[in-house]
Amino acid sequence: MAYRSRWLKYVLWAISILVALGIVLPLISMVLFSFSKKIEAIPTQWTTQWYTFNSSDVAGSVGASLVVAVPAVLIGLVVTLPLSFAMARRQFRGKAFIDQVIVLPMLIPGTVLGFALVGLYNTGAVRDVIPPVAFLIAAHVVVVIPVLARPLIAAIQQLNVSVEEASMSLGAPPLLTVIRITLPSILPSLLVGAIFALARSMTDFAITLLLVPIDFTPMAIRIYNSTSYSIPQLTSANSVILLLLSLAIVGIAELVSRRAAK
Amino acid sequence: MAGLTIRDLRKSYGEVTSVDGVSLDIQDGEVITLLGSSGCGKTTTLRIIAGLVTEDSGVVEIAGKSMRGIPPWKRDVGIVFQNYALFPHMTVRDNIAYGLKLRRLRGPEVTAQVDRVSEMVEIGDYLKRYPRELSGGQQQRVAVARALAIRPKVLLMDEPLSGLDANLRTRVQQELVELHRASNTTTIYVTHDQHEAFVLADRVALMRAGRIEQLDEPMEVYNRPTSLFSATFMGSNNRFTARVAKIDAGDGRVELDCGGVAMLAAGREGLAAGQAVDVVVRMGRVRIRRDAAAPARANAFPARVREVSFSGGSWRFVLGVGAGDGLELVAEAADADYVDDAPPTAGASVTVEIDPDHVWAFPRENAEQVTA
Repeated sequence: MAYRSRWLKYVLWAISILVALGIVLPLISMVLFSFSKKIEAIPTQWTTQWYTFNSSDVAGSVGASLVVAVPAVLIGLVVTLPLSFAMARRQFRGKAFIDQVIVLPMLIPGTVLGFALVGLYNTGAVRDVIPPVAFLIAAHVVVVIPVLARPLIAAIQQLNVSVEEASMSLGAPPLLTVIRITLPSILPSLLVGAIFALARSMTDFAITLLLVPIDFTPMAIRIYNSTSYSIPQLTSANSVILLLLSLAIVGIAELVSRRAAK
Repeated sequence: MAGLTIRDLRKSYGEVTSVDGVSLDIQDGEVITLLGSSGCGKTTTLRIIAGLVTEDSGVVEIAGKSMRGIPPWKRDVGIVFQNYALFPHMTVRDNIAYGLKLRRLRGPEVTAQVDRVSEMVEIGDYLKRYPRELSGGQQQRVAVARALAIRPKVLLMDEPLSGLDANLRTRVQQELVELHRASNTTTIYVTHDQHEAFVLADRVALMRAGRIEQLDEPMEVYNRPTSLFSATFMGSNNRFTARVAKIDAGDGRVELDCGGVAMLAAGREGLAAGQAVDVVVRMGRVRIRRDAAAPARANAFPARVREVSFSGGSWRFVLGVGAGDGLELVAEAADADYVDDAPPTAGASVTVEIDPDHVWAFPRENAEQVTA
């Protein structure tokens, strides 16, 4: 038995390392490449010029990404919170249907969803009433809802109702109980969901590409545009910036959730 | 004073009747246990008193005031939940202080009261910890402290010890008795554990199918059950069928015909001669005498020992009683009863004696209803 479990351990180790390398190696090569002066597999001459190339535009693009992501996540939260409570606590007709619909944005290819949304935008009066950036934000709300809802529903399901009943019996009316007991208890899951939703929104390409107005260039689109310069190092440099941004956000999530778990 | 009155409480969930006419009068400072198996309505009754469930009909009065339409947060009722329901994101101190702060007490008063109750349940050393850093027993104490801190008019406890292991449970039971002596809070305690119910209660309300089957002091419920259900719910019992031979057999007793054995039983209203009855005799009340010659005393019968088994603290004897061993009874005796002489062995002829007051005959019920 011990013999077998040791083998199992080695096999698992090997798989883990392979997976890690598969994810990390391309990223490492991308980072190295972004500092390379010439186009070569292993850089020999180094430069930071790709990072300073049009740097003010890059800053604007980071801003554009945030202009979409932050409101999308906030609106998503406003929608997802009551939805998650209903899904976790109540029985109602169509619950199973909603359960499936929530994950649809994760399953449908972005291009499909994007085309559908473009079609919607170009028909009728939608175009005259809603500015394109607002519509882009709305599209991102749809994309982030599954990311937000999953951890929230799980957290609310885990939270025992008797904790809220205890609060009420101790003198707190329902609204105060939600503020003092329920929300703090699910806050870690809410924050983690929100941060991953931010990252999801900022790295979204397909839907964003189909919906962005011409004068609006979020980071994910800038990376795509940069390929037209035929300078792959520039594309790499832009990608590294988006990667760092996502890593920073996820890192904050990690810190916050550790702190909340204390 | 802060007594509690419940009158004709009813609650149904669709087709299922959970509470079916429960009435109770609880004195100020009294401890009542609601004892029953799962689904008997004991927890629903508790939740109605707390205001967490709204009754279909009936009256709940706390300290003489009707609770109709009064929400849980205005009832001044302390609850200790089965899973303790501590606030995970708050320290022990903040958990206990929660109800006090909501009552707008000033800081020093809150601190003083938290210190007082945490000393009572001996958790003074853990006030800065979070619930998940505590053992089950410690969490249980915090839950009790939090409920007591608000000086509730009534303390409701819903199987608060079921999460603890057996040894700890016995200890905490004793501590709860002492705690009640100190706080003197009117308490309703829900449990399915008869030992717990008896140890803690001034009176036990045995519940069955949404009703109170019997309400009395522990000794009375145990030694004078009023129904077959009460009799068989607790203890280890002999149960057999018999026929009423004579209604007035002297001293208010009845005589039963138990498969050829004429046995005296405690009198009971509603028995008629010739009637089929269920008879219950606690195993511990079947006494074995070594002399084979049955003396001419009431309820003394010749018997033969069929099986003997020893289970640590006690002996158990399977006996054939009566002329042709027609009645099988099981007797239980404490290990300490056989210190000087050895217990009877299988095959031995003995005399069996049963106090007629501990032979309980009940009119036969529909077998379906008897689910103890």
